[in-house]
Amino acid sequence: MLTIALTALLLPAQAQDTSALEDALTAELGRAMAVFEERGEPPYYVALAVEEKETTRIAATAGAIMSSDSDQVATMDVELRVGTPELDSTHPLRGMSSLREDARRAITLPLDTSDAYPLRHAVWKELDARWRDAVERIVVVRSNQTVKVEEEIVAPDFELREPTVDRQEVQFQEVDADAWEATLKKVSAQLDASDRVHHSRAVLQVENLRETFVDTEGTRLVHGGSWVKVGVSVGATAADGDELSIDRILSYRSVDSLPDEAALLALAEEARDLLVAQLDAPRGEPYSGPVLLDGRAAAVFFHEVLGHRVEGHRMKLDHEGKTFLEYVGRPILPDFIDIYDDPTLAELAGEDLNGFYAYDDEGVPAERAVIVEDGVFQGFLMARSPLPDFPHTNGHGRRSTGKAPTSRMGNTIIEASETVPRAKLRAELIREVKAQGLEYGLYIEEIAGGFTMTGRVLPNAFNVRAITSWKVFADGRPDELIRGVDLVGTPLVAFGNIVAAGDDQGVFNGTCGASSGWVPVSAVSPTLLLREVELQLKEKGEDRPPLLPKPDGPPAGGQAAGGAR
Amino acid sequence: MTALLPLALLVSFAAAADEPLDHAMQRRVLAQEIERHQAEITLPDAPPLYHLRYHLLEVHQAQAKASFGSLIASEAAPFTALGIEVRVGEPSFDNTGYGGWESGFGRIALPEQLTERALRMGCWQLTDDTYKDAVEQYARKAAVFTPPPDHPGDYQTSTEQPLVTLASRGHYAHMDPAEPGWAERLAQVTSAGFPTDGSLELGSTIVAVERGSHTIVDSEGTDLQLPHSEVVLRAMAHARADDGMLLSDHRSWILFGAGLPTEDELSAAASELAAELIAWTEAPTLEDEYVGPVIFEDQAAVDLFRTLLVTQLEGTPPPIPFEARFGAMGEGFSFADDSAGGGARLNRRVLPAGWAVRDAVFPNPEDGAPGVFQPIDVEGTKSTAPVQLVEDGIVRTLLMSRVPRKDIPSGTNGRARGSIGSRPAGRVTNLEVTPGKRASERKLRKQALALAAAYGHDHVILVRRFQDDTVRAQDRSGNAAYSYLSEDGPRLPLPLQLYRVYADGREEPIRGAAFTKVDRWVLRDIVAAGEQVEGRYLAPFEPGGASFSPLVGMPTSISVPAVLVEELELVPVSADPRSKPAVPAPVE
Repeated sequence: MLTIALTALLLPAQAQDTSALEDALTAELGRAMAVFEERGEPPYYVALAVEEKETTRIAATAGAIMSSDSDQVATMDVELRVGTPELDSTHPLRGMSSLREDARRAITLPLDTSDAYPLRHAVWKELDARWRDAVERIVVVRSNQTVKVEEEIVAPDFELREPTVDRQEVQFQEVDADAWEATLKKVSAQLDASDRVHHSRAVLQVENLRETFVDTEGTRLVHGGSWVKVGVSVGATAADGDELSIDRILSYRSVDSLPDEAALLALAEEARDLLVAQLDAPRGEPYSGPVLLDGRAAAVFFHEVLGHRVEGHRMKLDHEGKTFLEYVGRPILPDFIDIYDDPTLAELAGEDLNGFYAYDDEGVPAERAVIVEDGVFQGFLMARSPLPDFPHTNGHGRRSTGKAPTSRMGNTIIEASETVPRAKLRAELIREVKAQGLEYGLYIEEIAGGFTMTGRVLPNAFNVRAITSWKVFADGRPDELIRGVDLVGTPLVAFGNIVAAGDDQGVFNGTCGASSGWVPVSAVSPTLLLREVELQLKEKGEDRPPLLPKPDGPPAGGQAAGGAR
Repeated sequence: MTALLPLALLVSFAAAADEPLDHAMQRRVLAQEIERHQAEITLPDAPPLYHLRYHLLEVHQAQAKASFGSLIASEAAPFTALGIEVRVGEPSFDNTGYGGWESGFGRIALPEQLTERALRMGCWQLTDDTYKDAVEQYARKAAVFTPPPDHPGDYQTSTEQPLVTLASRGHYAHMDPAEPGWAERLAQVTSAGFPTDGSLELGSTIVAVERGSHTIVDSEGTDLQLPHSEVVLRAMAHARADDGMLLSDHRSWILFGAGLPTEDELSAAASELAAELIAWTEAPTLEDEYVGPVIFEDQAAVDLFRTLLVTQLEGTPPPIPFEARFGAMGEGFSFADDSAGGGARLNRRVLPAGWAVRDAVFPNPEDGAPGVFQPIDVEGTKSTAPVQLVEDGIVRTLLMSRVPRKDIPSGTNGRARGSIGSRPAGRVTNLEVTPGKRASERKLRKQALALAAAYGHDHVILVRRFQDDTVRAQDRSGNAAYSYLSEDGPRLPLPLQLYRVYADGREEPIRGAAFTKVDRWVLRDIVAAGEQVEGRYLAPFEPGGASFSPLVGMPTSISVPAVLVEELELVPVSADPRSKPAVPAPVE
C-alpha cells in the first residue's frame, strides 16, 4: 500500500578517508571471519550496513503545536550467508520449516559511532548471533531441498560481484524550527476554520540519512541524503458514518525547496474546502465502464498493477502468481507505452522524485531497468537474487532496516509515444461513454494509494484507493463529485483496456510497503483513458458524527469557511 | 453539578485562542466542557450521563539509554494527554466494570503547547467517542448481567466536600528533564562504570524522568492540580557462563524523595554490579532437585512478597468478562459470588499469626520521605491515612477505589491508582509488612538448617536476588517468561544470587535453578522472619498484570522482613549452549 513521502539526496562530494565507523565495522568483520573460518561453515558473504538517521518533526493542530522534536538513531543490518551462492542459508524454506524464527533484525548502535568499544561490542554480538543462526539454518535448507519437490525456478541464491568503493560526503539539512512552528500553527488554524472539520494536522518532517556499507567482497560505501516533506491533513465523519480525510503532502530533496507560508495556507484552504465538498457528496455505486485516470492516479495504478509483479524475486517463490514470467518478449500493453524504473533520476516533470538513490541496499549502483518497450515486456527489477535469464542485479535490492532486501521499485516511469492533448481526453471519455450506452463515465482525479495481491490463493487483483472521483455525464450535465468507491481489477485485463494517454506527466511520491519493508518510491505517468474499469464500494465507518457542535470560535489566524453550525 | 455553577459564570473570561493556558484557565475550561457535555450530549433512549471526569497530564519527559558509556538513544520533549472517565446510568449500575475496551475510559494526546482551543477540541473529540462507547457498553452489560439484590453498585459518589486545588509541590528541584543533556549524561556516566574487557554481553543504563502536573476535574466538583514527578534509572548487565547460561542483574533507582547518588557513586554501582554478576558465572549449577526450606533475604524477600501478597490486598472487583468470539475479556469475576472478584482475600489468612500489613502514607518527597507521595488518589479521594490491611495474619480490609464491594461498606480509602484513560483500581502504594516476632540472622539460619535436616539436607537454600524478567529480555536469548503470566498461578523469577548455606556458616553460590510453581499459600508457610528490607518497584498498571518494560509502571515502595519458608521446590535449569558466542567479545 502506498502512503505519501518524499526523497532527497545532496549532491555528493568524495570523502575517501575511512571513518572510525567504517574502521570499526571492518575490524570486527575481519576478527569474526577469522573465527568463523576456524569453526567451519564460514559465511561466503557478509555485509554490514549502518544507517545514521536524524529526523526533525513538527506537527500542529487547531492552531497549536502538537509536537516539535528531533531524534537521532543509528542502526545496523547484517546480511550473512552460509553455504554457496547456488544454495545458501537465506534460501526460502517451505512447509513447517518455514515457521522457523527469522533471526534478522536491526540493532541499535551508539549515536557517536566513533566511540570504539560500545560500537565494536554491538557489532560483535549481532554478527556472532547471525552466524550461529545461519549455521543452523543451512542445515534445514539442505534438508528442505531434499524432502520437497524441485522449485519451479531453479536459480542461484546470490550473485557475487566486483567491489565498489565510493565514500561520499553527506551533509545533514536543518530547518528553522521556530519559524516553521509559527507557520504550521497558522496552517493548522486554517485547516480547522470550518465547523465541518473534525480533526486536522499540519506537519513538517526532515529526515537525514547517512549509510555506511562494508562487505566481504571489499565494497565500501558511504552515501545518503535527505527526505523533506510538508503536508496537511484534514478529516471528518460524514452523516452516513463515512470517515473522510484529505491529505496533501509535498515532498522535496532539499529544505530550500519548501513552499512559503502563503502557498501552504492556500493548500490548507483547498484541502479543507474539498473535505467539506466531499462531506456533502453522494457515495458512488459499483460501476463498470470507461474511466479517465489523472496522471498521479495512473501512476499509482501502474505501481500496483505492474510494479509489484515485475519484482524479480517473486518469480522464485512458488506461492507467487508470476503473472509476467512467461510474457518476456510478448506484448502486455498498447504499443505506445514504455515503462522503465530508474532510481538515478533525481527529478522529473519539475518535481523531485522520492525513489531516487545512488546505491541500493545491497551495495549495488542504481541502474535504469527497462520493463516495457513499445508495449512489449522486457524484464524484471532485479536484486542480487538471479533468475535463469536475468543473472545480474540492476540495482533494485531494497529494504527498510531490519528486513532482508528484495527487488523493489524506485522511480517507475510510464511514457507514451502517442499522446492526446490532456484537454481532449475528457471529450474522448464522453465519446467512449456514449459508445457504450452509459449514463456517465468516471474521472478519477485523486488517489490515496493502493494495494495488490500477487499470490495464488487470493485473487491476483489490485485495489487503487480513489479519493476524489467525478461522474462525467454523457448528456452534458455538470460533473458530480462522488465518494466511497475504489478501482479494482486484475492486471492482464486492465492493461488491455488502455486506449489513450495524455501529453502530461503526473508525479506520485510515496512510500511502498512489502515483505522487505517500507521504501520511498515515485511513479510518473500521463493521464490515461481506459475503456473499462470496475469500481467497488469503499469500506465505510459506522460511527455517528460528533453529537455536539464543535467548540465555539475559530482558532486564531483561521478564516471561517464551508458549512454552517 | 452545583459545584460547577460558579465556574460557569466565568465563561466570559477567555484567553486568546492561540496563547498557552495557565493552570487555572485549564481547569476552568475542563469544568466548562464537563458542564456543556452533561447538559447537552445525548443519544435516543440512552441512560443519563451521571459522571464525567477529566485528567490532564502535562509533563516534560526525558529518556536516555547508554551502553558502556556511549549514548544509544535520547528523547526529551513535553507530553500532554487528556484522560476521561464517563459513567452513564446511575451509581448503582453503570457502564463500567464490564470487559472489553470500549468501557467509558479513554485518552488522547494533546498539543504540547496547550491553547484553549486545543483543549476544548480535545475534550469535544474524546468525550464524544467515549460517551458513545459508554452508552453501548451499558447496554452490553445490562443484557448479560442482572445485579443481585445485594449488589454494592458500580460507583461510590463522594460524600465529602470536593477537593480543590493543591499547591504544586513534590518536584525534585535538581532533576529537571527539560534541562538539555541531563538524562543523557546520567545514562552515560552510569554505564561507563561497566567494564570494557569483554566480560559482559550487556552493560547499559536507561534513565526516564517525568516532571509536571496532573489535573483532575470532575462533575462532582473535584478541581485538583497535583504535582507529578518520576525518576527511574536502571543499570542493567548480562554475563554468560561457559556453559552458555545467561545471567542478568540490575541496579535500579526509583525516586520518591531522596536525590540520586552522585555520578561517581552511580558509576561505581555499575562496576560493582558487573563484578558480582561476572563472579556468579563461575558458580556451579544445581544438579539435583531440592525440596525443603528456603530463606529469602534482601531483594529476594521483596520480590517474594510483591509477587504473592500484593494482589491479595487489592480490593477493586475485576470487570465482568465480555464474552467475545475470541475469548473472554475481563476475567476474574464470579457471578456466583461477586465479592470474590480478583485475588483479594478479605477475612482470610494470608500470613502467619501475629503478622501485620499496612499501606502507609508519606509526606511530600521534598521532606525526604522514603515512600511514594500520594496525598490524593486518581479519583480525587484523599489518601492521607494509612490503611491497616492485615492483622494477626488475616486480611481485615482491602485497598479500595470508588468501585464498591458489599463486604467493605466503608468504601474507598483513597488508593485508586492507574494510568490515565483506564479504569482505576485500589492498588498498593507503600506496603509495610511486619512479622509478629523477628529472629536474628543466626537464629533464622539455625532454624532453617534444622528444618532442612528433616528433608535429609545438610544445607538450606538461601536466595538474595532474583533476575528481573524485563532486564533479562534485553537480550534476544533472554527468553523472558514473565511473572504473573503463568496460567496456573504466579511464578517467581529466575534466582540469581542463590546459595547453599551450611551449619558452619559457609555460603556456597549456585546457579542454574528455578522454583517450580508457587501459590499464595507459601506465605502462610513462613516459619520465621528476620531483618526488615526496603524495596521499590514499578507496579504494572493493570492489577495482576505483567511488566514488559523496565521503565513502565507505577512507583511503589515495599518494606518486608527476610523470611524462612518451610518448603519450596527448586529444579535444575539447563543452559542452552547454542546461545554461547563463537567469537570472543572485543576488548578495549
